[in-house]
Amino acid sequence: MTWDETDLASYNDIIYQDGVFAYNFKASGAIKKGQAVCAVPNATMEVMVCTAAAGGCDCIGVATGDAADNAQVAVAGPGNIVYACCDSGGAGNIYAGVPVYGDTYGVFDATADNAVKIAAFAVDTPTLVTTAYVGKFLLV
Amino acid sequence: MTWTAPATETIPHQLGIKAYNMKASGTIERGQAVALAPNMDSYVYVPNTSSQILFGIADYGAYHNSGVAVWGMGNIVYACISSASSVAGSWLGLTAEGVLSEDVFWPSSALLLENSATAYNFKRILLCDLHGAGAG
Repeated sequence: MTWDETDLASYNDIIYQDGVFAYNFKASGAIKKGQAVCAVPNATMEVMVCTAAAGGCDCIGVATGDAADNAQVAVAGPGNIVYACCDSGGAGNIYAGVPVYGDTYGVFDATADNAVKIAAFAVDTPTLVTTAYVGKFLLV
Repeated sequence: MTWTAPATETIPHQLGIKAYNMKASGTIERGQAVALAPNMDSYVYVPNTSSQILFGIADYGAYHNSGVAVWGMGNIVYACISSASSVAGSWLGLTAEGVLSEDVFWPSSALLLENSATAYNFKRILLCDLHGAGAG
């Protein structure tokens, strides 16, 4: 899938239940609300959209708002339940209790690429919104 | 190595949740990474061997049996990194002397948020936990 911000357009607030404060990072590249982000190698306190490229990336959390390249971005981290996009849901392989991983375009996937570690656990069964499935995830 | 005290920066950088109120088993220095002391009630200690499970980073120094505040998962704090070549995004585990190292792959429970270009320097990390239970 590709990232389609219309899937999350109706979710004015990405955070479903907040557990801890969001972190303040600098965006490397444009980041959209609801995208899973990871640390930028060789940078200081910068995040970028998760990727499945070689080397992988370990998700820090989910962006709570849009940010342009080099702008500040708030990232909901471990302890929060957020709305986010995922590769599959409904009849797919993501449902409550399933661990998910940060994947290309900043979506969650039940399959770990490049041995990345668990980013979140699904707390419901994602539903198809426009072109992607959206569900609630507990960030860990 | 011997423990090197942090510079002037405070230990917490961006806080997510409150620090835990624990007791020190043995002497703990400000900024040291600590683990839960086995068979003790709410005690933390600085292991002298690698691969203990990281519990958090001490906010200040404490003597044996005294209280100590420990920043735990969900917080971004400064911690001592052993390597002079660790890259932002690397996973870190607890080694001896309260130092974190990416050479300790299990259990890894902190994520490096900036490059460490000098050995045993203090760098910002995100304390997290359940990641360690996953793949990789």
